[in-house]
Amino acid sequence: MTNLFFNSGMFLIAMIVESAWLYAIFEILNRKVFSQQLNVPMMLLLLPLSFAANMLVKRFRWPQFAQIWMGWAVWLLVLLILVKLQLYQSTPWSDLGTWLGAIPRSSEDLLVRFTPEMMLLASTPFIWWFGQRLAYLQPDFGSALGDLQLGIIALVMTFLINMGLNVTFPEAVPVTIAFFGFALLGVSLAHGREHNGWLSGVYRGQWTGLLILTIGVILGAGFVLGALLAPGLLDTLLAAAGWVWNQIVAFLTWLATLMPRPSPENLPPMPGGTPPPSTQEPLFDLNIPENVRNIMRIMWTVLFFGIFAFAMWRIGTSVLGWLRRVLTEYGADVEPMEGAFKADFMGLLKAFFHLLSFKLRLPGSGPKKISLEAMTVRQVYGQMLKWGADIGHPRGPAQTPDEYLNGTLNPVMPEQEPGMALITDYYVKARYGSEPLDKEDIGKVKDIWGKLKGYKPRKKQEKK
Amino acid sequence: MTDTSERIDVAPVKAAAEKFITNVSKVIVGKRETMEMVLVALLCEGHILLEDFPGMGKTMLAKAVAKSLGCRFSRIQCTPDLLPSDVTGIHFFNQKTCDFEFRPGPVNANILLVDEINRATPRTQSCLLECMQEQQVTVDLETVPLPRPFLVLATQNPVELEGTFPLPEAQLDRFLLKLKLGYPSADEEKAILVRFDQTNPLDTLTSVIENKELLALQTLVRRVYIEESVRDYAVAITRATRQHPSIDLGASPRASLGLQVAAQALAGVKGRNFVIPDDIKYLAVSALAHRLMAKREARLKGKTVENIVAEVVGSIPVPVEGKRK
Repeated sequence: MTNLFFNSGMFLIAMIVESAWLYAIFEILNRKVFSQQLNVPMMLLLLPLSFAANMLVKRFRWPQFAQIWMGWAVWLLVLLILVKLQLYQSTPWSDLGTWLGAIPRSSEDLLVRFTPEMMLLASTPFIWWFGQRLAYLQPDFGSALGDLQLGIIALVMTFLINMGLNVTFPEAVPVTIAFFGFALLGVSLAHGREHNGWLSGVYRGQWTGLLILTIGVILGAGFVLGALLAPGLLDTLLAAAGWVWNQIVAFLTWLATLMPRPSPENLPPMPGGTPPPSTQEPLFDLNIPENVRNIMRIMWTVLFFGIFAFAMWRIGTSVLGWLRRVLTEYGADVEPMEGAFKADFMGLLKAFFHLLSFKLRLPGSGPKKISLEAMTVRQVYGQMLKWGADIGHPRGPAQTPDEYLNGTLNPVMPEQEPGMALITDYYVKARYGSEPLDKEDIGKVKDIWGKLKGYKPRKKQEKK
Repeated sequence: MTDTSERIDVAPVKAAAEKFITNVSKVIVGKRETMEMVLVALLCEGHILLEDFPGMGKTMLAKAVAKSLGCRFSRIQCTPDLLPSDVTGIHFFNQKTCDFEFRPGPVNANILLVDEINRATPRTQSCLLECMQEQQVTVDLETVPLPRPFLVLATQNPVELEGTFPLPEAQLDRFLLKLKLGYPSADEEKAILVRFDQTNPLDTLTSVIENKELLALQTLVRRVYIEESVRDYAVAITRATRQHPSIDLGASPRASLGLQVAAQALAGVKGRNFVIPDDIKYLAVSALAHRLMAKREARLKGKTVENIVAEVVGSIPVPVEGKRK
């Protein structure tokens, strides 16, 4: 998969993901405040336009501040055209005073009411900024995951607020599906390319922290805004939680009914007296002791949930497998389920059991302490090995890191020797040593790897 | 088991290594790797078998090593008529006190140079087994502990086989490392001529590492960290020698143990407080080859045990980040 193809795909995915939640925000606002006067899809066209314009400006090789200001100048122009196209369709283009002066005029009413012009003025810089950000962004696992997390926060907040505003928004389902579908596709693509994981790799610390922050922000802000905008929202949420709990209880009760009944002598006395025993002969004599019955109940529940989880897993694997096959035909390197999520999930389980065994002080089951820094360096080295293999110089199974560096990589890329040596050196310390690395070391390794991974050695000219 | 949480400072080991090598280099020209290996054996309290042709500097190296350490040194020149009691010591009747007294033999030293060990009879060679493994000597039912550190530096000549007795496997297994000096380069040979032109530098050599210091360093290198997968790698190499089709007798668990401690010492000498697979690889031939017995067919094909160990090392995967599928 070429860089151009990968980058184009990632930019497109990022635009769709951002458009999805931006659409939800602006469309709900448009329906509630402006009675659908604005054309939100047209507003969102600013995103690719901004991306294209900023990419074009980037090519001029001006100083960066000049590039950015040039980009904003284009935004101003586009904003004015957008005002004309959306709010002054019937006004001729030649009547410049009317549509060009619309924004200054409406700013006078800002304290009285929020006009569509003001909405355009306030919203388009966001959209433009997102396009500009994409133009200067290196699409990778970090950016894909960032888009996903930012989008989740924005979408959940929007829908929570919408519950208070009571705006009918039938596109909620397709927007959410599009958002998650494309966001996860972007994450998978980047994962396949970089071998970074949610709970492992270079971004582990950052993203675990961000994930917790995300959940915190959603819960905290959701409740605060819910309480401010619609006091009944809290009741709704609590009612929803109660409903979910009732469903769980009902389900467990239903499971219990599937089990053979306890023997009559173990039952508590009935208020109306014991009913007469049935004269019908039982088909099987199931006189099972109560403790065995309890164990069987647990086993039955575990079995049921196991089958359910397995079925969900198989469906998920099949969907991703299909997606992978389709994309592989175009040369994409999409990480399979086993690599992308299973490894992380297994890592999480292992960590959990290690923690558990540590707490219980089980003999011989002490946790293997691998610091986050060491894990990061090991992950970077893993990527370097993959990179080496991709450029035609794989590591032999019996080669040590130093042998690989000095015997394989250095002879073909002597100019990259310092960087590769530094990564190898830190890897050796992280992999075989006992002392922790510090964050500065990790920063160095990441910087060097960032520069190194894009490098391709020049092919030697064949002797005639 | 090495505690993963402890962090040791191996700077004293590295500094001592530099002092030692600089000092021995006043006598021996070149051969830095061999000197390093000798120091590794010293730090592990392991014994060394130096095998090479006559005149290569084996005895000179052994003497220089002994003089560089402030230790008691003695030498045994092995001949077919050498008796075990000439090595271990005897009980003699003291007419003044009218009692038997123990007179220790040359084995009662810190550094014992056993020159041309394969010229001694198997009976005399065997009397060294207890000394080398258990660091004690038993004479007439009396067991006497040997001073610490105790290191046997044995030399043997691989070409003059007439009148020699090949070392038994049990004896060979007790040597931690088998080293070869090899011929010097032209420049080195010229430097030897210049150095030994008028005086023998061995006469002026002084000790640079004292007995106590050496013991402290030995304790320190045992604490050098060895990661679980590196340990597995060392074991995999040793085990592979037992399954190799060209090998009759593979390396023993003592060999695994020797490989591990030697790797710890080498890491310390290099200034690292952890072992890396390169250490294991580097030491494998010296620590394992002399313990193996190649099959007759392999020997006829010209395969040496050193080649076989190198082949084994080249076939065992090194513990490095695996591919994620």
